[in-house]
Amino acid sequence: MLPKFSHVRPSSLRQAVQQLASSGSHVHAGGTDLLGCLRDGVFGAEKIVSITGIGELRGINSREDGAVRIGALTTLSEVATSPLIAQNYALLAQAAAAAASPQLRNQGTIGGNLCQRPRCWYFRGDFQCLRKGGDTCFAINGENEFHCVFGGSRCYIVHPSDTAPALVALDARAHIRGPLGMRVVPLGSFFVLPALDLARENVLRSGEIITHISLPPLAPGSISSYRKVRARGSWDFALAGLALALKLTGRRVDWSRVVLSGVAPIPWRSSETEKVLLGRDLNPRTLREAADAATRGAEPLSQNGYKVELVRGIVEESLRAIMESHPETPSERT
Amino acid sequence: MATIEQLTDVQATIGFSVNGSVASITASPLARLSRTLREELGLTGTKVGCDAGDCGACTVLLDGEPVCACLMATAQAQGCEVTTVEGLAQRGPLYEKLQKSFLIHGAAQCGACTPGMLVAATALLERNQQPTETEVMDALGGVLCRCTGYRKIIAAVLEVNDRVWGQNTPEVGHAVGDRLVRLDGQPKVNGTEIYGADEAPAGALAVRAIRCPFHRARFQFGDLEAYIAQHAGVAAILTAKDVPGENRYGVISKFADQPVFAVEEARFRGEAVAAVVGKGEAVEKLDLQNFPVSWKELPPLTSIDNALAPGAPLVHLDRKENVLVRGRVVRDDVEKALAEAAVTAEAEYETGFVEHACIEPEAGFARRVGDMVEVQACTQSPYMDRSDIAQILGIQPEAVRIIPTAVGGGFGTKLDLSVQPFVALAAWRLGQPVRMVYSRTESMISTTKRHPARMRLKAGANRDGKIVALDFHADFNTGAYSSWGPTVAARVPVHASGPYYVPHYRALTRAIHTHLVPAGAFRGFGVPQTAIAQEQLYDELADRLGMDRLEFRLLNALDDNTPTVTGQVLGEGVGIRACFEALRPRWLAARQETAAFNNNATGPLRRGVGVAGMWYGCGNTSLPNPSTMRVGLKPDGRIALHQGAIDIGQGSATVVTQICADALGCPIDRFDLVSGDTSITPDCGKTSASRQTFVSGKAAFLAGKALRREILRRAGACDCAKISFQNGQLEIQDGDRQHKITLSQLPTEHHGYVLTAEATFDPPTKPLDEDGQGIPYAVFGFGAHLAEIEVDIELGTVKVLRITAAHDVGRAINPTLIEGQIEGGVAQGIGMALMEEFFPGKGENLHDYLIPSAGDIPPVESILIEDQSPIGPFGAKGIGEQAVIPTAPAILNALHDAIGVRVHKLPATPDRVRAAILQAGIAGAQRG
Repeated sequence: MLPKFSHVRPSSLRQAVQQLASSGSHVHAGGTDLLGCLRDGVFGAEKIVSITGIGELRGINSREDGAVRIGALTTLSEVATSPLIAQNYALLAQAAAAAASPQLRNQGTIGGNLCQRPRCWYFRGDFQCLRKGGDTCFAINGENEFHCVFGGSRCYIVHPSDTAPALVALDARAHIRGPLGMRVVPLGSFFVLPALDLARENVLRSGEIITHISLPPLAPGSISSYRKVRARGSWDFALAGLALALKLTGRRVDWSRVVLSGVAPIPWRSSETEKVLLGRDLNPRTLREAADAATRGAEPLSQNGYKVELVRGIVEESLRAIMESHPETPSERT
Repeated sequence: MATIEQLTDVQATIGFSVNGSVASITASPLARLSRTLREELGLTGTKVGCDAGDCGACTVLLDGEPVCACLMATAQAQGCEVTTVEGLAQRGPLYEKLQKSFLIHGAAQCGACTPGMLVAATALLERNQQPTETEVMDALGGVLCRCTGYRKIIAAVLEVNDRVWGQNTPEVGHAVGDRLVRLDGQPKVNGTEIYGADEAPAGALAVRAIRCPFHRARFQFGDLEAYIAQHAGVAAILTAKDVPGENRYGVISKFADQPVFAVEEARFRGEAVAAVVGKGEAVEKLDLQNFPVSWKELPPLTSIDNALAPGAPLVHLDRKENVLVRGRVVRDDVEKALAEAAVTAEAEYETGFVEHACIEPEAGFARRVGDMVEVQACTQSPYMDRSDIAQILGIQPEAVRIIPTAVGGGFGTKLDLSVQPFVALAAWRLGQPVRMVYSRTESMISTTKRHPARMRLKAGANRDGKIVALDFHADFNTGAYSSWGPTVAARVPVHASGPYYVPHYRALTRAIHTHLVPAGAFRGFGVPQTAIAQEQLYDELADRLGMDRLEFRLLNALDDNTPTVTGQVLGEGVGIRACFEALRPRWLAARQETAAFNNNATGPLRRGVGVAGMWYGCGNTSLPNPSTMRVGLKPDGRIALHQGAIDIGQGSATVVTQICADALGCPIDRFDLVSGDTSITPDCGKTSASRQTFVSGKAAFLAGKALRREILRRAGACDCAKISFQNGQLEIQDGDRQHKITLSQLPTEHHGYVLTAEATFDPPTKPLDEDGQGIPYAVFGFGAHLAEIEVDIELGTVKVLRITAAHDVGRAINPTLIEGQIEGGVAQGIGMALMEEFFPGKGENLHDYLIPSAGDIPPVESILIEDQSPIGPFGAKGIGEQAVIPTAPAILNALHDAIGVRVHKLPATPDRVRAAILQAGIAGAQRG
């Protein structure tokens, strides 16, 4: 017997949450990854809840308190081209523009981008791997050049999102609606490491969806950037990437966020690097120490040690670019 | 949980607008919009290349914004306005200009990506009339193209407003050399071109193959009858015992070894063991995981080393040591010469499987017509398909008709059978039309790849800079079946010297079987891999001699009178020196610029410049490969050219017509093309080995000349007479004399022509002796590329900044099409050098397997050298494979020039480059 299947298209958030309460239901937003996952048996579904008709989940607005709200259904293209985002959170605009291809950015949503399933060719392929309920991670002894170098334990997936590390670096929060009402989770606590739970990549419980993201205002004068290293020029996942936000006085770092993409099962915030930078002037020595700190604790597999080197290079290069575009701190001149 | 097939069982009424009309359809809300557009609404201009958003061929506009229709559930389009390529014209006059710009620039080759490119470009131009190059590259970045190398597409978009577009018709006698717009171009920019998946008879059944999920496994079927009974709509299951003729095929009949369906043991992951035939939707929705077959996985041979290990199981019992075939060319005493050489260099290089990644996955249909079977599918080799299908069905070749569709990229892989045996067998047995469309994954796991190569070589030179010897040993992983393995093993030893005089020479090759996907033909038959090793080694020799790398090559380059490694003296048309000389100005400038850049470098970027040469024999290696062309004059004064050369995008249909028009001395716009169909076109062989311009072009030349002779004979005119057409009359102006022939008064022959001529050309070659000495090819093409690159020594990333490509094409019949071949070859060379490696079993899709995108291709300057071949039509030589060969070694030589390291296992991905940098302890790479 075929399982019963239904496709629903609620017109309000309340209806959507009701529909999602039944087991086996799955949200359908931009849908760039849904049909492929269903076809390839990455996951199944008995009910597809299409939320694209819910207007309140769309759009970018600034709020009175200076924060910015991005509806979960806002497309990556809209995020990438929004003047409001570009002016206030250059890092996020750059990250959204670096994701996938123009077509996928027109279709894919910011909420979906945060919730996408991991990139691993065993998980995505014909393998009954640990994450799919099997008893083996095939990457450990297999082709693991694209797998994680941080945060892996038993399972070595990489979180594929470019916007997630940007949002973590911006101290963004996810506003979540579920059967029990609303809750707010900082993006920095939204993602789940394999050591904690092998079956999921984030804290969303059954029936919950992200309604919007809120971004606190960055301190005036902050600078931010997203840099992504990929194997080809267009439409490629990050081999490694760096979401960087800094507040400088001259070249002295007053505050920083350093979050890596493409190297861990979650956006990988390097608090150690932030500690190295805090209160220090950007100079060749600081850059070197920051790069060292960013790579500390890496545990590469047989074929992905180069990612550690990429992290080192990308941290140093990004900081150097900022250093060179800022005047030396006045006290240093004496 | 339900599968996607079951999910799509639910139906809903969905309303949206398509190309300005309201569509209300009943479909599954989760059906891919691409499927709904193609199958329900008949809008087949939207191509499906991957069903994963990776290739962008299915790009449509949704409320004016480009999206991938394959990722859109049909329900998502509810209430939206969808524009497909067929509807672009309604959006305004811009589109007509864009189409013309695509045609004039040669931006459409095979045409499979063209609808996606046009849609993406229209969206850009609608909001930005004057985009920058970067904006164009970004806008097109989501659409992959495997033919053009993107530069002509980018130019077509950038220059859409630049010219007054008109139709160009060259003067009589000047078609050759003209930048004629491809004659088959219009349907490619209209979205009306018919590819393998675009047409099928109403009610055609569908067939799906059951494929082995392991590299090697024994298998047993369960109750197949019960399976049929339990699944409504399933009409039959086919297995080896249903094959009426021989369950065996292969492109080289002597080595034919591939079964339509494996028997008892499957030899590679992706090999078919059975097929399910039935009603389209029913078969599409089957969950083949439940098919009654049990597998017993067996230990596979997955590398050359495994396969050669003592005691390794034999992939084929009659092939000892798993060696399919050996190749050998030996000239004089290489060991002695190496021992006496003033300098020597040696190296080992390894390359991986490379996937053709045609944007069109294999597809087609078959139907039985009485005692005949017709197969309409994408193919590069209709006559070879015909004999193999006949053998499989146990019928005469004349009972098989092959009707090739447009081919959405071939590059060698569509020389081998794919869907044809399945659809032909099913249609033959069931008496109903049957269609099959490969998914991207099915295409990647089951069709041929470029041979992985492991090469060991040593070369020596004298103090004066002359190369004295090369010793070359290569093993090629040919996979589970022979395919073109013998051709690679035979062609490589002839070419491993490069286009240089090498007096002492030994090249030994083996094609080794493993339990992996068969490696076959891919643009260059092993020579691109060989050039990667040999051209890097020659750089090493030059460095050891302290010589300029370009001048070293010039000093050693072949000329008309030096013998090749098979002892052939070409006598004329050896244009390799001219190619190197053409690169010299850019070489000298680039060397200076690079040195200046590196001297001033404070950051992690370093630049390098590299050069590599190439030669490539056109046509089969010491084997006959004739082409036959027929040209006929119709009573109405039109000229029909029956040309069976399959145009896979390279432009052969246009080129052979240009040649025929000038040979005949008639205007090219009088020609009507009758293209490849085994029932109406004579055999033009296969589209491979860079032979169509040369061999089929020569046949078209001879046929044109023969028809001309016949016309002139009837008029009693001399060969210098001019032929023209006036009001149904043929006018022959011979000096002061004028003759008229009223065509409608002449009797017609059985094709309906009043005058007709047919000609065959088979290039003159001589067999190679046991040392490989002889005349393997009548004509060689020559070329050299210069690559300028930038390396980030901290990240290991390589960016190609510029390619300068000089090619001796003998005579440039159509410079635009030749540039298209060069730029496309460069793109594939960049892929091979820097990003492409296929792992059977992993990443069988186009986001794990990366081919170059619009953002990866630098400006390419093509320099055409015309050192005419005494044999080719108007002096022309081939260019298709020649174009890809020198790019990768030029890039790798540039990498060494930039940072002093060589990557010995390709591709040179950031991880391997960075590892090589660290291993070499490059100054500057260690920070601080």
